Amino acid sequence: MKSENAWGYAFIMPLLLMMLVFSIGPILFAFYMSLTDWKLSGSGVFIGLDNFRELFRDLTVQTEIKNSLIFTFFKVPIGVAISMVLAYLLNEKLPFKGMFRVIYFLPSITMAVAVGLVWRYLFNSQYGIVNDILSWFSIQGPYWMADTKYFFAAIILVAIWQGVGYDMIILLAGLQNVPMMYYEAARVEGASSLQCFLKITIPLVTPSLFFVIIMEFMNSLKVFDLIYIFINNAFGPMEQAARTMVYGIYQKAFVYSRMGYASAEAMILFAIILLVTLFQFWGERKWVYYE
Amino acid sequence: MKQRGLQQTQRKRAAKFAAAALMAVGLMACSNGSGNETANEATSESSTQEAKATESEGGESQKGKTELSFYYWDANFSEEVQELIDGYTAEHAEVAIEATQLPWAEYWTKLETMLATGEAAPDLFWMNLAHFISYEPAGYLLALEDGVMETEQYAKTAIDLLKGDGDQYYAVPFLLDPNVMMYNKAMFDEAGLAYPTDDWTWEDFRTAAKTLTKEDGSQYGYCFRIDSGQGSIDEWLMSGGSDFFDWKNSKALFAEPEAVDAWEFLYEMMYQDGSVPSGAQLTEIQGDTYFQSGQAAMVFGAPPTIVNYADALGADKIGVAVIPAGKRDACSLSVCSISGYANTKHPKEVQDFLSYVASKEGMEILSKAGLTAYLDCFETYEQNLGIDATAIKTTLESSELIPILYSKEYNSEFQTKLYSCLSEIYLTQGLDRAGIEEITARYVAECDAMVGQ
Repeated sequence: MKSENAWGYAFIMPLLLMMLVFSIGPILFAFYMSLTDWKLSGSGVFIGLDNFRELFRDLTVQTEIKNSLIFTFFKVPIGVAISMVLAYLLNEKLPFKGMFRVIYFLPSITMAVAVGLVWRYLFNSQYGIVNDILSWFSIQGPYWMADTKYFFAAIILVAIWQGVGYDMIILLAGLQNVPMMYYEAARVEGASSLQCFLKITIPLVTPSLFFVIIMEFMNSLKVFDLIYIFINNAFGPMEQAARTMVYGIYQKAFVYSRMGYASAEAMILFAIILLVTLFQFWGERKWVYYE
Repeated sequence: MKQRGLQQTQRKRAAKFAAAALMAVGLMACSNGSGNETANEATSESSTQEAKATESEGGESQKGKTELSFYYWDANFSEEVQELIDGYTAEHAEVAIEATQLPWAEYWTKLETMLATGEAAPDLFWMNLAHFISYEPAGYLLALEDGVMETEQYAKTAIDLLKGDGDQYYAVPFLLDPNVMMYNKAMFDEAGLAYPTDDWTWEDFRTAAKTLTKEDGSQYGYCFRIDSGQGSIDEWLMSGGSDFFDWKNSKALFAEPEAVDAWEFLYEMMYQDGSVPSGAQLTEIQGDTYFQSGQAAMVFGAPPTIVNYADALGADKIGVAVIPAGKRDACSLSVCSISGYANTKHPKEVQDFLSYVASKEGMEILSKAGLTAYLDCFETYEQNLGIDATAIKTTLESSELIPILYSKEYNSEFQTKLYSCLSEIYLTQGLDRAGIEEITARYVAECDAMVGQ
């Protein structure tokens, strides 16, 4: 028995070591750095909670937190709802089902950099196809990429478009595990399709849904690549309209070289994600149904 | 002594670990969904380069040669950099130099991490002014021995910027970028206008820009970048008589009355004359693209951009003129230079290579790709450019050249404030002078607050 345990430890050791070196270690070190004024060159001095005090006064950071929350607030529910509907439809007996699955999944395996660059072009007010299509309906499209009112909304739209495919696949897998007998029984009792969807499909797919929602929350709160590509060297109002927390952390660390200050913001983000996730696990008991 | 050495090693280790930690956090941040590919590319690239660097760190290779590593960022210079190395090693067979080109986006982060940790740091590397002002006081740069540069051969403004507190130089300047005006000759011909001259004033410029603008929006008189100051608002502020930034004392001066004149002048050209694309248009498409694609008649920029414009529009269509004078003849200047690493294991060879770079032979090679600070090489540059560049020489000789530096401590932060101000002013419609004053004053106050903290 003892030697079996030893083998068990031996097998998890590589992964455990990787976790320690590449995840746990850096997280702890980032926490330490957040208490110093380290600026890349030279060695940092321990300054206690000064970085955090400055963070809470920093208007830019407030904008970043606000934008991250807005992004999450719109992206998660809309994205998950669309994924759920798509997964449901693609679970039905449709012609070209396989092709549609691939089409919807493609954006999520496309590099965010490519997605961002192409969409920036599509949104261009003069040459982009988005405003072209709007003009068919006699709508004068706005300057999507140069008007603070539309800029962030456009990014969220693209993020949703990019994210639904992945969520859809997870939910589709969940749907395929729902036994047909429940539907048959319901039909015999005279349930409509909508009733079947709401009373059978949704409850039985909640474990997958829970997983998707948790991942969506985390990924949305730490969104970076799309934001970075869309902001694309813009300053002032445009940057303010779309900067999120990880964008801010990146800028503080790698543009301004303020590693300590950036780490402090990373800690705040860590705390927010931790709270949101804990809250969800607490809520899990109330709505997630395990067979 | 031993204790101190130990502490230093520990600190170095801590710094290395921190760098690794940050990279890991960075990767984690990018790793949602499809960001993976980019992150992986970056990692594999960095590991190859680190491997290269470690290889050469040992110094003496199996062949018994002293190996030096050389980092630079501009791929357009790859041929010249190699020619420079070949030229030097032909005479010094005992030295081997390996050049590594890093993309601009990661150049400074990598270089700074390497210099800060002290290990795997390149022996030689390209520098720009913005980083020089923090790297030199940090002790990263090797002081050049007397005689490495024949200082009288160099543009004085350029080399004066590469001194430390004393009289020693810490870099060999090789690329000079004084900003000039480029114009589309065909558009001037079509409008029946004479080409710009050295004595053009702001008003001459404005009148010409109006004449060159077509009402259907297919052609503008002038265009500028709203996401960058160089060749854009920097030139207007400087020629308008503003002191720009007092970088030594970290003081932003772009809200002074002369500066507001410049902001306002350009604002009126945009929203009253309509001779410049609107702020929104310049945000959607990088401003200078209007010139490059033949939709604007005039643009300001540094000499390297001339080549791009010539490629796009044809060399015969591009004219070069000095930037019109407002209250003074002035333009911005950026300088690229080559430095040695202060703690290199081979200071003698590094000094020797730098003196070769600084010689006329070395500078002639670099002049093929860009305007160097070595005045005697101007002809080589002009010949290779294939365009009459007299205006660049005039600018170098008679304009006030102001380095693009913002602050000793907060250079990037101050730059961001200026660029943000630029964006906000030209994206806001219906501003009057008071509105411009309010915006500039707000950004200057933010700069002041940063210093006050």
